[in-house]
Amino acid sequence: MTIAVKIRNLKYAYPDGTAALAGVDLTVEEGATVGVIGANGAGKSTLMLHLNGILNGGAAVEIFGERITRGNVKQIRRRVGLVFQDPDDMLFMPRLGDDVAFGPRNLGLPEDEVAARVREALAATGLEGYEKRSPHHMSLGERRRASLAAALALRPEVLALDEPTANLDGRGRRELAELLASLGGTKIIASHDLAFVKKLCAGVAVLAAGKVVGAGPTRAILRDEALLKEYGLL
Amino acid sequence: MRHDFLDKYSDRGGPLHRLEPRVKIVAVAAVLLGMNLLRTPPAWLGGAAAGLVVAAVVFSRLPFFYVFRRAAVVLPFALIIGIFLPFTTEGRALWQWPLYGRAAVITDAGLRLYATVILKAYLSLAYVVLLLATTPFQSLLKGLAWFRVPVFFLSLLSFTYRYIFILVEEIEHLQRAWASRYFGRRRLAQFRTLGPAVAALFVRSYERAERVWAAMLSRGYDLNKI
Repeated sequence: MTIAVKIRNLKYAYPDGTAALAGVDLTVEEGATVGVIGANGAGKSTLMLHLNGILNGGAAVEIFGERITRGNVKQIRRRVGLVFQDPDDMLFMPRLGDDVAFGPRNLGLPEDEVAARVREALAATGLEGYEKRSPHHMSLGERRRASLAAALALRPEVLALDEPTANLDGRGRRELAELLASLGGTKIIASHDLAFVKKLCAGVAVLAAGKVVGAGPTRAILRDEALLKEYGLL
Repeated sequence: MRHDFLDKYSDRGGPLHRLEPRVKIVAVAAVLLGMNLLRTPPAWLGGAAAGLVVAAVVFSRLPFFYVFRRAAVVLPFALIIGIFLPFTTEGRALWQWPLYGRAAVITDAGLRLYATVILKAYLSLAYVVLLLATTPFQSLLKGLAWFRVPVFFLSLLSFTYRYIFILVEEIEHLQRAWASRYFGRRRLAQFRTLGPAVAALFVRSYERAERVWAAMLSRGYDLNKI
């Protein structure tokens, strides 16, 4: 069994001195879908930014057994796709097609391969024919799926999603859950949407004040009302 | 919240829409240069420039007032920038008032120059709006790239195009939040709250930029490769 993500005692403080992560431990097996649940400000987003080397975790973070270094960071970013919480952070091109093509183009793929990747990613997210649409004129649910498509176009082995259901309505949530369930690969979902996590994740880790304070099978953790209440999830 | 895009009519199938963007760029650049390099173009030339843009709007089936309303945003600037021209240009005096022991004189040549400056500015912008309304922004950028406009500058344009609306939305949010808690104090006090509001907008934009940058890096962006 391959370990996709291995994090040992990861610490991170923001430049102003605020500690965001205070020794996180997390192991994710290849092919697993894992939830990282925690209240606002628990450090979920900061943790996600370490998964592809946007923030440097040094020896504390290993992706498929490798530390992230200057030399391999591009390879890592191809293998680990990050989906940001706010789609407007990811979709910055005037046309969605160019946004989805942004990653493959950065890989230096030939244009016909880029076009194929774009079609594939849009089809996987139910956005066929949206190439010429402007992200700004799409609904939030569509933009969420579009930012997922932008990450999928790199064919990542690990998909890390930061608060994928934030501000989504019921239908948006349901469609996104179905969509994610249909995708293969390793998935890490940072969220405080417990129903969503329950639907998708086999295991969860509870993050609070920059530390993992509980981890285990989703059912067991979500049944532990005292734990959820203590860490602001209920 | 929906906003108009700069190039919202650029997918209409008019004859100007089908014209190669590079041709349009050269044509508009030529008109702008020609119009603005002549200090006082003969009236027939101004009339021709105005007639041409009107004809182009009708010809390309754009909503008639769209281009001319858009172009009007330049008027306040042109009016203010040129405000002293009627006073400082030599010519036949039309009106004069005593002013601190001297005389403020408005001359005919000055008024003519003032009107010319305003018309030039207005027509120039009308041509630019026409170009934007008949060319999808991406094709325009591609056209500019062909003319060796630096990629850095083009990405700047592209980002501005994309994020100006998000910025406008953030201003609207701040404005609404402000209006919801504003209960009519003195005018001076309003200005005092404007500073922090502008600061908040700056901080938000800055943080947005950081996140967008992180999202770009996440998808393999490399500044050295462009």
